[in-house]
Amino acid sequence: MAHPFLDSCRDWPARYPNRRAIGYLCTYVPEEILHAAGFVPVRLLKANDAIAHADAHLQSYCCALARSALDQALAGKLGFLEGMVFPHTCDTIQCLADVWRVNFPGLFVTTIVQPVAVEGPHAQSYLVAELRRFLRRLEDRFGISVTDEALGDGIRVHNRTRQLLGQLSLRREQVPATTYFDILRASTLMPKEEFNDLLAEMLLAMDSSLLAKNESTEKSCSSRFLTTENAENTEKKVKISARSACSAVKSLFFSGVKNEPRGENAFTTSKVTSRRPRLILVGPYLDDPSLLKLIHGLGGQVVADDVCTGSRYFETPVSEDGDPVQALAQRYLERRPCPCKAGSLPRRSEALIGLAKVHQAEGVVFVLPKFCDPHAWDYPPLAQALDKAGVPHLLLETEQTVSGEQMRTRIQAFLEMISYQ
Amino acid sequence: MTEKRYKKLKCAEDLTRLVERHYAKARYFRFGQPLAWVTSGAPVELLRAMDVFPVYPENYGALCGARGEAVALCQAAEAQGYSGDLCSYARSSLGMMSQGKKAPLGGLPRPNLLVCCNNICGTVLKWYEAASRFYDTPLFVLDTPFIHDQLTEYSIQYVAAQLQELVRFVQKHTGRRLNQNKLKEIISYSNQATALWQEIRELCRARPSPLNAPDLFVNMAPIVVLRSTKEAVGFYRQLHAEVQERVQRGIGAIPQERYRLVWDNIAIWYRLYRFYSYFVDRGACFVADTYTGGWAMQLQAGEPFECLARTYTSVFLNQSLEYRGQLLLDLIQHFSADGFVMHSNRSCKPYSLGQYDVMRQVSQRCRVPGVIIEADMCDSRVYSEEQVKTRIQAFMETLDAAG
Ligand code: SF4
Ligand code: SF4
Repeated sequence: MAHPFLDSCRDWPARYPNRRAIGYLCTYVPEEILHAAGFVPVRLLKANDAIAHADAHLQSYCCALARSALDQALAGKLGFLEGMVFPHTCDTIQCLADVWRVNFPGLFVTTIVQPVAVEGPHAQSYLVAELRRFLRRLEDRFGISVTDEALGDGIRVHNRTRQLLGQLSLRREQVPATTYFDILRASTLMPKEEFNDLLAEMLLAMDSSLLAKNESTEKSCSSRFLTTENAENTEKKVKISARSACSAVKSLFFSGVKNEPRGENAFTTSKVTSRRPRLILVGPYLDDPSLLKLIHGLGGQVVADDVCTGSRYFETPVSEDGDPVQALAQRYLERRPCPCKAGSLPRRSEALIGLAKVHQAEGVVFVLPKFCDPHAWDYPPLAQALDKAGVPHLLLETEQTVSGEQMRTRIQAFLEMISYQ
Repeated sequence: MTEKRYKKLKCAEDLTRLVERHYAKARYFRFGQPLAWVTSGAPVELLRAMDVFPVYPENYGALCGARGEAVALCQAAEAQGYSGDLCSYARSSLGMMSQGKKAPLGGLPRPNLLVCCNNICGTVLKWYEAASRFYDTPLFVLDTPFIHDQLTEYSIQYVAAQLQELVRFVQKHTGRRLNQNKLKEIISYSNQATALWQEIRELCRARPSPLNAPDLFVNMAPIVVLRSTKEAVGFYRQLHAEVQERVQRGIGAIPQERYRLVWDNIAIWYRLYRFYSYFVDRGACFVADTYTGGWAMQLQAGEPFECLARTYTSVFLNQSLEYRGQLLLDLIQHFSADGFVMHSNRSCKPYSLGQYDVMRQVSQRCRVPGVIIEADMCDSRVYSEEQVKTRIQAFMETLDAAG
């Protein structure tokens, strides 16, 4: 089934006819700078289409994200992008940047070679220089000048996005996992101000329905000691208020989108009060909500994540004081590191165990796309750390020849296993 | 014996002895000298000038590959949960670590230090961190920003500042100090060895070429593992004389040179001789390659830290596809090659992803045919003899038609 946001790059120009866009793939690209230069940063993700053009450029042992992104561009689906920005993360992205340049010679394709040794004493001054070079390139290419005010503005707008998404994540258990990821996806496609307003509105809507629910949850708790009939009634009430919040989300984010997810309203299946095994997702990206649906359908509940399209996107705000470029450099060095960065493993591993504790997670699910080296490298030591901490975990390798049925069986077995623990 | 198709170099035994002595020294005769595992692109001159003994796990991987022993090591790493899609040098190394002295060649000696430079790939970072955890050994990461267009002044400053850190790091963990005079001497050995290696490669412009790809691959070992030593200089002098003599006497590396080819990427170690024999049989000799030339970089004169920073940041694997495409093109022209063969090495993504575009561009610009062979440098499980043979055959037919 086509997901509204998976193909939304295609109708981006129709939705935002008066906006200019620059594409990127990885959360190490400072969107703030693109925003300040008057562009909407548009994040490319893997599309569902079969690869038609990229095979002639990238070998089969290249990750599906890189192959699909290039494929979309070669298929002419990204014509609205006035440029592409590649940060230095993994070897694949490094090559992809150059392949992109070769194949789109007139396009503004540029790189930000972020430090790998992010904790090193000289990383900050190097990154500041590199970010300034990036700024100059934008200015030269588009004949603009980016002021510190504009950068400050970009920082504030993106901090607001981070803050709002942070608030949403606190209510994560009230939002179906797929909707949660859809909203995150929207945040990387829409003009940020527009997104911020929508999300703020939605949070308000949620809060009022939550209020109703809190009351009813309270009631339902107390009603346990009363009659079952009462409890059922309050349950229903919860569902209704949640459902109205859900349709609010949909109308806010998905309006005008064809291929609306098939009639099914994920909220209706989300039983907050039920005992669902609580899971944490770990991996580079989630491109397709079907895995989340599967987990949910089998009775699991995703309560937190360490995924680049998830929490890793909105953590760590940028300081709004002082020189904006310095502040940006600092944020990109201090954020929870991705596995491509030196010294990242101990921090990731500590953070993961911390997440598991805070969220009382009962299991961790690694979602590893095939040929993603950095995440494949971290899997064994993370798994070991989880073993030591007594947190069960499951490895799901995606982009494999594993059938949906096998995937289902593995998740089911895992959920059963942790439910009995 | 496929090796009969190759004219053996007289100094082959000297090479074997040299490499054996290096490993023996690493294990038994260091006399307290601290041992560092280093990546192939690490600024080893600094380490040697601080009396640190470097060993190269990548070279160990290549040796195991050539001996057909890498797969078992890879499997050992996979049994620990490491994906079979990761670099096979790295997997071999992880496998070796877990096998200890039972590993081929007795394994690599335990490191006192780890020095990892990411100018070749991002894999080494993860690999050395794994080694650092395994041995509980301090690791230094030298971060050399990738060059997509030009090397910037601030990159050089960034790397030079880290080299100062590296000196402090080594001093802290070994108590050894940097000896400036020794550093000068070592840099001079490095430059002599690389200049000789470069000249040896240049001699292959002769028709027939005095060396073929397997010769280049086998004889590159000292330029990596012993670069900046007197021994390397001595060996390359000897090799240079021998190769020069071949040229003077019109002796070719292969019996009948009909075609001259350029090779791209790391060798297919487990088939080193057999693979190239398919070409030898058809009169095709590899007169140059992009890989073994990668270590022929001279250290410029001037402030040593800056020169080291400049040189080690500019290694070819740390530069754009465009740069590497140009390099291949230059080699084809400089060595009057009739075609080129690219090894799409699934172990090494940074070297291989983008080869399709390079191939198209290069053949277009210099009008010689190229072919891509899918394989892996150490993991023979992904190698398909039949497929490879078919591709080579088709390519040779193209050459015949073009010739
Ligand atoms: S981090 Fe992994 S998924 Fe992301 S581009 Fe690199 S290899 Fe692909
Ligand atoms: S073979 Fe490639 S990936 Fe492996 S260590 Fe060497 S440069 Fe890195």
